[in-house]
Amino acid sequence: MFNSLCLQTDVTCIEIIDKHVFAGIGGFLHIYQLPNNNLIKRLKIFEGQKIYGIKPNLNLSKLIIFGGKHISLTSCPQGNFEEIEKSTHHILSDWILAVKWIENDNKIATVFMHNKLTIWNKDFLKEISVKCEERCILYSAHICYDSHKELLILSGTVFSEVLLWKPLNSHENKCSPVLKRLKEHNGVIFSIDYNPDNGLICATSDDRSAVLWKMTSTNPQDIQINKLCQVYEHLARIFRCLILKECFITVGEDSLIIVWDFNGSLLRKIETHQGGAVWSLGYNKNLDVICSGGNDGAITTFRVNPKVVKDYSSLPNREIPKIVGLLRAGNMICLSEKAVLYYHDVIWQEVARYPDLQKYCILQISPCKRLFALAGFDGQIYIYRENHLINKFFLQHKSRIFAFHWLDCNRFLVTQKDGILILYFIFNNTINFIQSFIFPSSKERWPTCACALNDHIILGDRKGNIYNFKIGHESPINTQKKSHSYLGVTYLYFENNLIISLGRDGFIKRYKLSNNNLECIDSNKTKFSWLVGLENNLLLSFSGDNFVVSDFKFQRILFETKCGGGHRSWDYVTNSKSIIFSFIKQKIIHTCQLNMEDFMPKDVIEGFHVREINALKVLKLSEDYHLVISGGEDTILRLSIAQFNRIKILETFKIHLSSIRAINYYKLNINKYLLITAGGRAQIICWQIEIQDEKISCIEKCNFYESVSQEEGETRIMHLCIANIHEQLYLFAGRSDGLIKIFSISTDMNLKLENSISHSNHCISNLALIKGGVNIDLLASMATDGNLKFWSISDICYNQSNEALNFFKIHQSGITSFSYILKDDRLITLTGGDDNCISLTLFGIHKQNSFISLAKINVDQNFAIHCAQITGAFLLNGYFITSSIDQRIVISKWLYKDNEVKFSMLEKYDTAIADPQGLEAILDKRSLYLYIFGNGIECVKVNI
Amino acid sequence: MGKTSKDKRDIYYRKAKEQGWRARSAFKLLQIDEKFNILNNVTRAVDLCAAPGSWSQVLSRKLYLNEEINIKEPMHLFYTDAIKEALEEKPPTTPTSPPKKNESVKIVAVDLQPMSPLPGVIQIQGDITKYSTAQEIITHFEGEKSDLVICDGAPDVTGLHCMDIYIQAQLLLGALHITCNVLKTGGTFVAKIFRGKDSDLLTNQLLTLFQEVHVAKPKSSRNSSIEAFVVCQGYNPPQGFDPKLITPYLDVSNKDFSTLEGINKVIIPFIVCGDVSAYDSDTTYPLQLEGEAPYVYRAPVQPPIAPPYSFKQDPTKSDIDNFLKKIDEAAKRVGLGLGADVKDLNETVRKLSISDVNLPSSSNNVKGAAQFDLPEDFCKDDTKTKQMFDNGPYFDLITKVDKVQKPEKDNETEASVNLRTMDFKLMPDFEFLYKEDGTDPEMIQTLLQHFSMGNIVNYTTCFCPE
Repeated sequence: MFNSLCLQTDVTCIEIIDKHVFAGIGGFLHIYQLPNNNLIKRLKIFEGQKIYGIKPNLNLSKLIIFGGKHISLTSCPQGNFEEIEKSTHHILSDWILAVKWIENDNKIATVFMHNKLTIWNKDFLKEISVKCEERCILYSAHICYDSHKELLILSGTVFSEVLLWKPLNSHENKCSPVLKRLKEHNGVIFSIDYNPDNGLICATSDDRSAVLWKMTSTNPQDIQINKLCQVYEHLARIFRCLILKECFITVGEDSLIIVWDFNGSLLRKIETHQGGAVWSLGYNKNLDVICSGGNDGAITTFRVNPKVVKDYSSLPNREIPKIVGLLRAGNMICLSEKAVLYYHDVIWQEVARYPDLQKYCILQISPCKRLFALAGFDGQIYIYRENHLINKFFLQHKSRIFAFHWLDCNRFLVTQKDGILILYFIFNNTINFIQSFIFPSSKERWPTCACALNDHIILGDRKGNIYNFKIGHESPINTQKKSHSYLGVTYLYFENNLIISLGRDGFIKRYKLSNNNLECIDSNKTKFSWLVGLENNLLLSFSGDNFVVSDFKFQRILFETKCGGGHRSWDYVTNSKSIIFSFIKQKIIHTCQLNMEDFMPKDVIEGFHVREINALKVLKLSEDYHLVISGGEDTILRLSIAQFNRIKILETFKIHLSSIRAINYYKLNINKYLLITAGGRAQIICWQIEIQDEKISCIEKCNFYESVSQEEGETRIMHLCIANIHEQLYLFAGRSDGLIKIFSISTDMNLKLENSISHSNHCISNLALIKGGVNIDLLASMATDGNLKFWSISDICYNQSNEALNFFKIHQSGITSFSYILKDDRLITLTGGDDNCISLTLFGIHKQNSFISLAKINVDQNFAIHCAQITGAFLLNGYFITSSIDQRIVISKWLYKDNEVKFSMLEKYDTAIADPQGLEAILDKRSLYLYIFGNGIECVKVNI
Repeated sequence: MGKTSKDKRDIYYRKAKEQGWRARSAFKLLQIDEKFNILNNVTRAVDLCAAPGSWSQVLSRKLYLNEEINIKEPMHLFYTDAIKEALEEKPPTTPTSPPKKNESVKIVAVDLQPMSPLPGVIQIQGDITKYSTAQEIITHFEGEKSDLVICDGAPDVTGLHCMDIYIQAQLLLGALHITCNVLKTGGTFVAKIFRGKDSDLLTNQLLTLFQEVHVAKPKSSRNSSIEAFVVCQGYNPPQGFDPKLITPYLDVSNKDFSTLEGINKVIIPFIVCGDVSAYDSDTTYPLQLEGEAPYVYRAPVQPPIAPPYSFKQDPTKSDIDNFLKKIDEAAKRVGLGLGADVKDLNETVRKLSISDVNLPSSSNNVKGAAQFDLPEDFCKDDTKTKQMFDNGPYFDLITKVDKVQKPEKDNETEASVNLRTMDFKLMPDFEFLYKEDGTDPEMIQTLLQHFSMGNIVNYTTCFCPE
C-alpha cells in the first residue's frame, strides 16, 4: 500500500566500494557511481530503521548491512551492484555497533552495545558469544584483524575509556578481561578507528578532541600503546574518525571535516553540511576522495589534501616590505619601508626609489591588474604598467591624497581634503581632468571603494553609506545610507548591469540603476565578516587572523590561511582556475597559490534542511511534478521540485531572523501565488511566486515584524491561515502567546493589522479555515490547552465580536494536527494531540440568520495507534492518515452513519524520518502522495 | 543574545531561578506529584542520576524540610473566579517560623558526578548498574527498603533519535534494575522516557512489575520535546522474581506493538500533569507578569559543573600554581644541566590553555565570525576601540601619518609651499604639475564614448594596449 518514492534525511553510513558510494539513508541503501555521481540503485533494506553500517566481503559478492538491532545479508551476483538483492534479515537481541567479515569471509563478527561479541557462520547461525568483563554501555566499537584467533576489540565506553579486549581470552564463564584501558578522553567515546597497516588507533569524544595512539605490540600479555597526539579544533563533539596512510580525519557535530597529520598538525579544514552534524565518512584510495554524509542529507566528496603552493620571500638588501600588490600574471610589486619600489617576476628587482613616499603612500592596482598607482602626501602620483613608469605628476593642490581609486584602466578618482574628488581620464597616454565631485561631509571623508557603471560612479565609505554620483553632477544623485552598518563598505563592483557591494558586516547587496537612481534589489547575509571579494562562486573574507576563501552558495570555508588579518597589506589575483593571495607578515612576503577545482567539494546529493523542517507545503504543478516549499529550524526557506523520485532544490532564501514555523499560500491566479512564511521573533514574510512553464520565481514582497520591548517575551508565530472574504485577503497568525492576529493583505502584499483575538493563555498550535457547506465561514483555533475553538470569520475580521462561537475540550494537552470534512451542516474533524490520541469528532452546525453555533454529536478516539505526539492528520472520504513522532504513518478507515463516527486502523508504514513534524498530502486520481517532514523529508505514494 | 533571552523564551527557566531551583526540571516532579501524590507518606526516597540535583532538591524541600511548595502563584494572568475567591477567603498568611524538619526522612541521591550538598540528602557517588550501589543504599536506610525511586537521567544525546531512544531505554532498564533491589512492595517508581519509536513496547512491559503504570507529561515539559515520564505505582513483582534476571521480563526486542494481542496489549494511559492554572512551557509570556514583583534578571542557581570541554576554559588557580611550579622545576633542571622535561611542561601549559605548545592550532582560535559578530552597542562609548574595528586597508598608514605630520591647514604660508615645491623640484625627473582648471569638452566626449567602447562585461574588463 505504501511505496516510498524518495527520501532525504541523515546519511548515517557511507562506504566507498570499487568507485561506488554506498550510502545508508534511512532504511534504504543508495548506490552512486563515481565520479559522475549517478544513482544506479536504491534498495529498501529496513523499514523505519536507519542503516548504520555496510560491510562488503572480499570479492564483493555479499554485503552485510546493519542498523540498530537489525542486520541483513545481501547478495550481489558477479559483483554487479545494479543487481544487488536482499537475501536474509535478522533481528538480534541488542544494538549492533560493529560488524566484520572474518576467517576469509566464512564468518561474521558483531559487537553489541553491551560490550559483547558474537561470531556467526556465513549462514548467520550463532557460533559463539563472548562478553567483556566490563559491563557498561558502549557508544562505539571497532573490530581489529581478520581471524578469530587474532581478534581484538576496541570498545568506546560511556565512561570516557577505550577498552581493549580479546574474545580468545575468555574464562570459563565467558567473560573476557580488559587487556588495556586508554584513558585520555573526558566524555563519551563516539568513534574508534584502527589502521592495521600503520598500527594507529584513533578515538573521538564528547570532549571535542581526538586522540591518536600507536600500538607497537599486540601481544595480549603486553600490549604496548603510546599516545601520539591529542587534537583540538572542533567546536563541538567529534562523531567519526578515519585513519589513512599518511593522515587521519575527524568529523563532528560542528559540520567540520578536519584532516590531520600524525603529529596532530592541521592539514585541511573544511565545512560541509551547512552547520549540521556529519554522521558518516568514507575514503577511496584509488580516487583519493573522502566522502561525507550529514544531517542535511547531503553526500559530499572532496580531495584529502589538495596542494597549496606556499612561498616566502624577503626583499633584497634587508629592506622591510610595507605594501604588497599582485599583478595580472601573478607578478608582484612591493614598496618597502624606505620607499623603494620592487617588482617580482622570478626574483625581486628594484624599480625605483621614492624618498617622498617614505612617510605616506597609497598603492592602488587597477581592476584589470595591469596598472598600478602610487600616491603621496603632497599630491604626487606615479602610474606604472607592470614595471614601467608611464606617468607621474602633481595634483594642483599639492596636498595629501586621502584615497585613490581606479574605475577601470582608463579612469581613476583621487580624493583630497574637504571631500574633493577628482575624476581623471587617461587618453592617448595623457591624463585628462574630467571633473570634480564633492564627497558628503563625514568624519572620514573619503571613499573606501569605488566602481563605475557607464556615467555613474558608485562610492562606498567607512560609515557603510553608498553614494551614487553621475558625471556632470557635483553631488551624489542619491545615497544608500548605512547600507553596510557602521562597519563600512569594503568592495564595490558590477556584473550584468548590477552593482554589488560587500561590507565588513558580512552582507552582500545588489543594486540596480533605475532612472539614474541606485536601488537595492536584494541583500544577503553571509556567515562571514569583513568580506573583500566575490568572484564567480568564491567569496573572499577575513576572519580574525585568517584569510578565508569560501564557497558562496553553500557558505562553507574552502581554504583558510593565517595572515594576521585584513589590517595588514595584502592582495589577491584570480584567474579561471587558481587564486593567488599574498600578504606581509613579520617582514616577509608570503604567497599562497591554490587550484580551486581541487578545493571545491562536489555534491553527490545536494544538502537539504539542517535540523527539523517545521513547515512544508506542496503545490501540485502537474501529475507527479510538485513544488515543495519548506522551512524549519535552520531559518532557511527552500523551494524545491519533487519529480522522478528525487527532490531538486530550486532556490534558498535566508531572510528569516529565526526559525520558520508556518507556511501557507493562496492561489491568486493560474500562475501566481501569494506565499506567507512566519516563525520566531513574530516575523511574517510575504512572497510572490510566479510559475511560467518551467521557470519558477519567488520574490520577497513584505517583511513584517514588530519590535518588542524589553519586557515582552519572544513571541513565535505557530500557524498561518489565509482567507478571502469578499475579495479582500486576510491573514490569521496564531502566536505562542495565545493570540491570533488578523491582518488584511493589500494588493501589493503589504500587511495591516486589523484585529487581535485571544484563544487562551496557551500557545496556539494550529489554525484552520472551515469553508463551504451552507455558506459557512469559520476559523478553528487549537492550542496547548487541548481546546478547539470556533470563530465566525466575518465577526473577527470586521471587529464585530472578539468572542469565540463555541469551544470544545478535545485533548488533554496540545492539539498538534487537524483535518476536516464538511458535509452540509455536519462537520467532521480529525485531530491528533500531544496525548497520543486520535480523535474523530462529529459536530452539528446550527445556523440561524447570521448566528452560528456548533454542538458535539459524537466522537471516536484511539490512544493505541500511536505512542507519541501526533503531528500530522489528513482526512478524506472513508480514510484518514496520521503521522506521529513515533515515526509511524498510519492509514485508518472511518465510517459516518446515523450520527455516529467510527474508525479503525488499516495499515502502517514506519518512516525513517526522525521527529516528524507533519504531513502534507496531495491527492491525485487514485493515489495519494504523502510528504512526511521532520528531520528530513520522505515522499510516500499510497494507493487506496 | 542578551542574558534575558532565555528568560523570555521559557517561563519555567525563569521561575526556577526565581524560586531557587537548580534546574527547571524541578517543576516536572512537582507537577507529577500534584497529579499522582507520589510524595505522600514517603520517608525513604532514592534519586538516581541525581546531578545537578533539582529532583533531590524537591525531595529535600518537600520531605525533609517539610516546606509547603505552592507552584501556583497568585497571578492575574490565571485568575479564575474560583482561585480569586479562594485567595480572598484565605487571610494573608503571616510568615510563621520555618516548618519543622522531618528528621525521620532519608533521601539518597546517586550519581557518577558529584553535586553540591542538599539538606537531608545523602550522596552516593556510584554507578547505578552495580549491585554494590543497591546494597549501599539499603545500608543508609538501615536495612529498610525505599518508598520511592525517581530517575531523571538522560544519556548523552547524539542527535540520532533511534539511538538516543534505545540508550534511554537501556538507562531506564538500568534504573529499574537497581529499583527492584531497593524498592519495597507497593512502592513507586518514576523515570524519564523518550516518547518516540516503539516506546509503547517498553512502557507496556512495566506492567509486569507494577500494578499501575502511567505515562505522564508535565506542563513544564515542552510540547515539542519527546521527553515524558513513566509513573509506576504499586510495585508488585511476580512470585519468585529475581531482580538480577530482569532482562527476560523486559524484552523489547523483535516485537511490534501492533502485533500484540489480548492481555498483552494494554494501553498505558497518557496523563498530562499541571492544571489550567499552570504555566505552559511552550507559551510566550511577558517578562513582567501582572501581579508579580518587578522582573529582575537572576543568574542561574547552579551553573553546569565541569562540562567535558571545560579544560579549555580559563585556567584555575591550581593550574597556574602548578604551571609556576613546573617552570621552577624546569629552570632547576636546566640549571643542573639536565634539560627540561618538556612533555610534562607542555601538559601544564595545555591546562592553562595559554597559546599552544604541543597543539598545532588551538581551539581558542574560534571562528572569526564569532569574534566579529559584535553586538550593535559594542564599544559604543569607546571611540578608540571603535576606530580599530571601523576602518579599511589604509587605516594604519593614515593614522600613523597623522601622528607624524599634522595635516596642513589652509593657512600654510606661501614660503612653506614654495619650500615643499622646491623639495620636489630638486628631484630631477619631475616633469609637470597637473592643472585642473577647466575641462576640455572634447575630452568629456571621448570619455562618454569610452563607456560604449567594446564589450564591457564586468568590472575587470581591460582597455590596456597589449
